[in-house]
Amino acid sequence: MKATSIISKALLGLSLCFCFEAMEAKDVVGFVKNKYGEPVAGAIVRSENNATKITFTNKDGMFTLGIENGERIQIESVDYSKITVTPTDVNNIVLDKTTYAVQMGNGLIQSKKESTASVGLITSDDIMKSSSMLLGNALYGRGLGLTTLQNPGFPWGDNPSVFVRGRNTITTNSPLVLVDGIERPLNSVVREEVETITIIKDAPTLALYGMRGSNGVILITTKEGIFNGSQIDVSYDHGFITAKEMPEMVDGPTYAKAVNEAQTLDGASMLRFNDAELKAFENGQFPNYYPNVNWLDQIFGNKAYQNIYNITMRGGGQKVRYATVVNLQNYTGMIKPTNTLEGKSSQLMSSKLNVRTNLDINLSKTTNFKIKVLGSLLEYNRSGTSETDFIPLAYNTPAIAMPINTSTGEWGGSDTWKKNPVAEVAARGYGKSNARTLYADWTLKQDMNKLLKGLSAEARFAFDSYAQYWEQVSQTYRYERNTMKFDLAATKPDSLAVLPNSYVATIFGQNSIPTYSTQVSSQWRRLNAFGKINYNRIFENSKLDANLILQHDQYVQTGQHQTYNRQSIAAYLHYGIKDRYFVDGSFTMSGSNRLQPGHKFGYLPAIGASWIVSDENFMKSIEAVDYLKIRASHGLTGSDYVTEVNLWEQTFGTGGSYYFGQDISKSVSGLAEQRTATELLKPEISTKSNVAMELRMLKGLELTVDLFYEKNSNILVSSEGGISSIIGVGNAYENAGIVSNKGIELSLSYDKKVGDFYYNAGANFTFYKNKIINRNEEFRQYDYLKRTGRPVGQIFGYQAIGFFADQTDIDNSPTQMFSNVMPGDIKFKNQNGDEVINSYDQVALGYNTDCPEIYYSFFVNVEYKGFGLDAMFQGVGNYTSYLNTNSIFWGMRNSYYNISQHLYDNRWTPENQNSLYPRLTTLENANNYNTNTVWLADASYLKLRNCEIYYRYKLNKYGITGIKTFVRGTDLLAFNKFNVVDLETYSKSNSGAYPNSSSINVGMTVSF
Amino acid sequence: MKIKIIALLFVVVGWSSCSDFLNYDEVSQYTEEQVFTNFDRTKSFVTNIYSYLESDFCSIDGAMRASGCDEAVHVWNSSNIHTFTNGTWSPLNTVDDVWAYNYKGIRAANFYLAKGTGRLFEEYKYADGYANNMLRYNNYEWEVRFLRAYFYFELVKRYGGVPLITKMLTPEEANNTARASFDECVKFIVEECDTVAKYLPISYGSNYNTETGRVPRAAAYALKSRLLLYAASKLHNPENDVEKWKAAAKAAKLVIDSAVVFKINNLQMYELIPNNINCAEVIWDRREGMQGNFEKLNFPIGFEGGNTGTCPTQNLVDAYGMKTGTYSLTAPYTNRDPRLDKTVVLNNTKWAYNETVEAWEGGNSGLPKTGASPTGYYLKKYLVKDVSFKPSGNTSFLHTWVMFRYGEILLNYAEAVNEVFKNPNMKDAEFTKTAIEVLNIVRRRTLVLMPNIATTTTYDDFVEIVRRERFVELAFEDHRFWDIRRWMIGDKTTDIYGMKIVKDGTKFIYTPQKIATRVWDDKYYYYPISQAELNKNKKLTQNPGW
Repeated sequence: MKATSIISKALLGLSLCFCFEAMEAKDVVGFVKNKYGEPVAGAIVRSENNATKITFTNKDGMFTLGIENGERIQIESVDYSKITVTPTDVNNIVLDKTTYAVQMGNGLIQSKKESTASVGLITSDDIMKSSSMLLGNALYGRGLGLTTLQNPGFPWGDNPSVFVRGRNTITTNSPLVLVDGIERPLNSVVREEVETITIIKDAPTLALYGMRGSNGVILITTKEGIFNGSQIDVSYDHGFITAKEMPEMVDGPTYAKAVNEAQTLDGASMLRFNDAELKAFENGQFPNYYPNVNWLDQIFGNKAYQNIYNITMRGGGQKVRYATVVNLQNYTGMIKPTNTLEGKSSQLMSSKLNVRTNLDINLSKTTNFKIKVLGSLLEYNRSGTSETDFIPLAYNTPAIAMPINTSTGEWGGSDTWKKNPVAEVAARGYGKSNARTLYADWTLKQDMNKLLKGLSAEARFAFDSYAQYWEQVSQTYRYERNTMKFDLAATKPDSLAVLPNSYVATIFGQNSIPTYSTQVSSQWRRLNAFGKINYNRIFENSKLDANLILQHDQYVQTGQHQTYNRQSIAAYLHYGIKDRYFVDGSFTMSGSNRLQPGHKFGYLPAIGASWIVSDENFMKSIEAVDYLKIRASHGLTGSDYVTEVNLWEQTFGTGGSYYFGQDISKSVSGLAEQRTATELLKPEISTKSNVAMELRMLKGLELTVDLFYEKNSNILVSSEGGISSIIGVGNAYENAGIVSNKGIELSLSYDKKVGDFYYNAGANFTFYKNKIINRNEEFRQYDYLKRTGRPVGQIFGYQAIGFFADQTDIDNSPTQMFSNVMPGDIKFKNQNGDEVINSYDQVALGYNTDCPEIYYSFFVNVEYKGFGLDAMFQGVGNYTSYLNTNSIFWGMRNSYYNISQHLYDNRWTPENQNSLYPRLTTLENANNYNTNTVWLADASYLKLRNCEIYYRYKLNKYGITGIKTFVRGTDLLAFNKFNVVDLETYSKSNSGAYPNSSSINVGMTVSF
Repeated sequence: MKIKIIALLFVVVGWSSCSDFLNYDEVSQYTEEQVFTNFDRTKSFVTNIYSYLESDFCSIDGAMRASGCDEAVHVWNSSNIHTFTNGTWSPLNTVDDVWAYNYKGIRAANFYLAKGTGRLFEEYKYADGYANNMLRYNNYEWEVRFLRAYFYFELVKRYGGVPLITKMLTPEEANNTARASFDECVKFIVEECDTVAKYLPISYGSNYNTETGRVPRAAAYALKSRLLLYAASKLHNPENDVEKWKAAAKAAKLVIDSAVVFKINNLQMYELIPNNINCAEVIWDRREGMQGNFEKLNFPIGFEGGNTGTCPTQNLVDAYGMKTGTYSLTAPYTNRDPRLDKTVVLNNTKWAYNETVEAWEGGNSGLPKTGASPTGYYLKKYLVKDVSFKPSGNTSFLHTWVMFRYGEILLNYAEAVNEVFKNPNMKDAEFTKTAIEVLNIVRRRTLVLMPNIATTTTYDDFVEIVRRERFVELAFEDHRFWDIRRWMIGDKTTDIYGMKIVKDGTKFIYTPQKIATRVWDDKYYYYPISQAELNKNKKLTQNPGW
């Protein structure tokens, strides 16, 4: 059956239920206050079942609304983002964090108090404290349970890595990211569009996401219209971006000396540079032949700029509410060389325009219709050589490699280093990309009280599409290689004598005519249909919220086997007694085309419960405790991740090719047996348990503690580790992997308002520990080599115990079976006591390199009469990095990488044996350059992510209602355990990175 | 009201029952039935088995196996090839570990022999060319059996006896199969060669759609000749059983006697042997198609696109005799065996782009430049001079690797028959040519015309002569590495020499010098079996010394 026919059936079902009903109403008078006891003015008060019954609180927080007996009242206030409460006591309605309406996805909205779920919340206010162009980069330290880790690269291009509750599997650990309930990339929306972000962490709610839920969910909800009139915010944010912590590379003379030193220590018979040449590097007399170029300085400036322009318009009335966000961002990078093509740029630049319109329309008294549309245009510009190619060149090319230009004006060239970094940026053409995004979804909600009291139905249809188009102008350049020789006999210490006629200049390559090419580099589309039937009743002592949820999702990407079809049906029950005891139950049946026919569906039951202890009579006497809740949950979530499609089949596909016949320019393709079939492919199941306590005390202190344990089983692992390769065919997979993960999440905050003085401080802390219980590991000779029993991603390597002092030291030590060792090479600890050091001597070292076990943040916000200070620190612990970045740490070696000043200053020499790093070498040296403790560093850090001073001013002139101006610093301060370079930037790839930066932003928002 | 509820239920049921949506799948692969009921797909299955054949166009981490023995030095230290010679070789640190690779080829062959043979393709009975197709199809069985035997040869020359598998294994069987002895493996390969040789065609003419490149009959005999020569050599024949030498000599003699029938008897100009599918001397080649990567890896540094790789040693260069006159260090390359200049790029000669190779110290391709040859020589054999990495150049030329050629068979015979008679001048009714006679055929090939070996040569001298002739004639054809092992002379190949070349005005000063001392251990005669394999299959035993 096709998706469309299902939708039409759903709509038919709904249209059958259109009904109108008039009820007898009576007036209720109530008061709304905030947590400080101050009246909340201008809040919307309305009947939950009838959106046309609506009123607003006056300046005393009072309202009068005509409602039917037993009908619930919803209260929304702009100041508290969007809060919906269902008050029992209308005379004292308090808006605070417990009344906060939490978006749980699947159209479920629950007040924080009633919920049994473990969620992390991020509000629009939180993310607007950042000036990042990417939404993901505004999330550091936000949302309890979310680990957001910066990746190196461009402020506009590189998404952070995100994990919900750390790692729980050896396969993929990416959380599901939803925008308005539909799976969409995290960074497609901008900060200004976002109302709230919910991090969903435990079973009853995650189970509803079926085969997509086991890694957690990040649910982004965009801004909707507001009831009372209109509000226009116009803002501008300008960022002054400064590169920081660029590693310093050695200059030409030092590099030349270092090469000779390395060769001497290698025992080479002939050194690369003679004395005259060393001197020529020193005095710079022959820049054509003996150059000295600081390539990093030539490629990167240290300033970049960004601008963010935004207009947000929100408003509406009883019939229609609207929210429109128009957001324009642009970024100009730090690349220095000018493009040789006239009028074209080599600069890394981007600009992005997002236009969003969300409409919320009451079609009738019982029918509500919502439309959300986002259109986005994104443009990039770069040089003809992509940044992933030229950035490594900037780091890895030593100062002596070649001149930028020779004296004849040609590009400089070299045998050993092949590519001229500046020419690669300036003279290879340019590349441009255009990406277009369209997201649209329509939701129809029908009240069906007439049919059955408390019954309503909802249907949503979404269509998303994305395409990125690249155009590229490519060209090659010609370059000159120069050589000359010194007359060593005639050279004196103070003057260099050149051999006559020894100058040779050879031209290589050619300046080609620019060629143009275009391609669609990626595209995808998604169709999503969602339906829900809801039965929501309040009885005398209890309330019931029952939901039947259907979901149907198709995602089609460029390429073969890139269609993901998924379906699920779920029941979700929320039942509360006396507003103190709540029980949630969910049952989901979820299927995916990635899974085996006949076993396409997984069944995921889950339950949760909470108890508001503070509402019990015995607690009423304890004055200090304002609120105490205990909750627990347990259940199953799933994942349909597979290593490749159709694992359950033995198939025959492309094999090796061969050449037959007399014309052997063309090969004949072969057909081969593929890996053997997996017997019964099952979805990965994560069993999650959670217990927690929420406490509010002393009218301002808040504490949340969550403890959880989860166990992922049926993880797909290869059976290869156990089967001899004489079988001669790729092995099947098995659902045999098991990983457990447990952790604690703590959140503590305090806020207080004394007159005009307001302050707020808090901290989040999370600690996660996972363990591989089974992964079909191959046989290991020693227990300490086993990966099983260790965390996912545990580093294994050799324990360095110093450097070999001399040949005697080498002779007296066990043989190290990696490469020839010389004095100055790393000496390893013998773990098994045999005569040699080989892979049996690896042990678990440090932690892992992709997800820290400890992630924490703390913040403070002080405000007095509109002047405010806001700061947020974020840090990680139990985290390790490889120091294997070429040139910076792994310098010179076989490929003649550059070396950093840090490496040079801390290398082993016969005179300085107490060094950080081993001797220099021009050889590959597998002994030194492997995973060992010399090249591992504690990657813990604490960073001041945001710090701002602002001034808020309320006025009522020229139509302006308020102004906010700010000066904001991003990443101004960092405390790193390893403080040579920023490991967040330089440890993620071994080939250098676009410079990390800090920025100062100034901005202003004017509200009308 | 009820109707509405029923309508809703329909929606729910309809939703969950539409399983077509979840069965969506882009099929790109075949089932076993689809493969073997179609002639073209069956043919493709056989093509895949051919693809497991190896060549040595820098197949070991960018280096030739020649750099693992005294034939050459690989200039880049980063290549795994150095594991052979730097003392780090072990079951935990393997190199050229083709164990699993060849068993993949063997599995594919076993699969074909079990499931692919005996088909009639009756559906196509009345199609054009059915008879021709069936002729080709019926030959596949013998080709595949030969290929399987060849894969075993690749294994036994490295590891000695290996598990002999002639069916498709289950995981349990794979983990419980012991090694057969070396002699059992030899027996199996020889029997297979004898069997398939009866059926394989001499050449692939028009009735075979001129699909040259498939296994010809002579290849089966040539494999047998090489294998039996290896089996008779000291490593595998420590008692020096003369019967083994006789078997080897006989196997070579069989090829020599049929050479005219096989049309392989015509020894060509030496430089026409590589990369030439029409070379009459070549019995069988491994075809690599059009490419220029081998040149990229081996053109001298200083040449556009060149990166230096395999650098021939002075040890090899010294093995080339004088054609006339006596050796002089002032002109070390004058009047030498003409094959030297076809194999090695010598200093101050014209090479690619018609540019002169400056291998002297300070020269464009000389030390101390990074990547310059430490031996003073660059590789020429198998390189296509016309490959050009200039922007307008053509980087794609035909490359084929010689698997067997007549020249080798002659040398096999010469070596074996000298051992049979312990006299290079003897012959009898069975071995109708003397070792010296046959060796001279090789030396007197077109435009080489090296002096004949004197008939006064003794057995012992001839052993050395034939070894040297193999070194020279078969240089860079992947023989030396294995010859060193079967002759058990590994410990005599550890000193590596190069030529120090200094330019003095217009003259050159040549000084041979030792550039490296390599590690040798007698356990290196066999490769170690990877420890991971031993862990998985407890019945496997490790080779001695490892």
